[in-house]
Amino acid sequence: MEKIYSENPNKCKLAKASPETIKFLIGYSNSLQIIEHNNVQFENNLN
Amino acid sequence: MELQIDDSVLVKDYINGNEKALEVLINRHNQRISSFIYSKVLDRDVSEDIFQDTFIKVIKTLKKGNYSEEGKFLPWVMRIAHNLVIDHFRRNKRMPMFEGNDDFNIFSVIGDDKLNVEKQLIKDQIDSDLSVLVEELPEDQKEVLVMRIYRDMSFKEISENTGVSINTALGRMRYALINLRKVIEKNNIVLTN
Repeated sequence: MEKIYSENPNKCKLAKASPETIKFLIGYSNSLQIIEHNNVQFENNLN
Repeated sequence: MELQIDDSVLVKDYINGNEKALEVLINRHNQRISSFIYSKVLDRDVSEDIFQDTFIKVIKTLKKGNYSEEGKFLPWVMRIAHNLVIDHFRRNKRMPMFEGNDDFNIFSVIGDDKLNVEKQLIKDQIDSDLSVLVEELPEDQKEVLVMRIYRDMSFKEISENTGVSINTALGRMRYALINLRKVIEKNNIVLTN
């Protein structure tokens, strides 16, 4: 029997994270500082 | 022709404090990573959240100096995203998210049917305005209207209490409403919530 390929469309659609998310990530990166003390790393967020 | 800086160079730059390098990396791989996540979760909002969590992990790992550069930045990020997608499904399996559909919305069942503060204030104002207007009505009409609306009495009960026939009570009610409308229109009073 003929196989209908169009019945199962590819679910992988092109998507992109929003500019707000990217802005947030850049802001997060800017504010994040890693401080090391006695071989222990501390995250410091300077917001 | 624009020269594209290699991922490994951008990663090194970022580790050395060039924050701009991260922006380039995110924008360069945004579509591939987002599409990969979306193809698994099929939800724009969840996809956005996982994308964000992925790069938070990337940022932390790079800033902590825990990334070993082998020239495979994108596969590394994709692996983080993939693990977060698995975490998302595990979490949802333990605690499935209930979503209403067109026929049934959970908030219509558990929703609070009380008015919010603003609407309650408006309602109180309208009730108070209306009671002043009712006071303006002729005594016989006012009596019937108060019994019917405020005391929720039937016209049979009103008839028994006032000593008039049901038809008379109905007529008084009708005129009470007509007169109220006239006063409202005459004074341009707005009685809507």
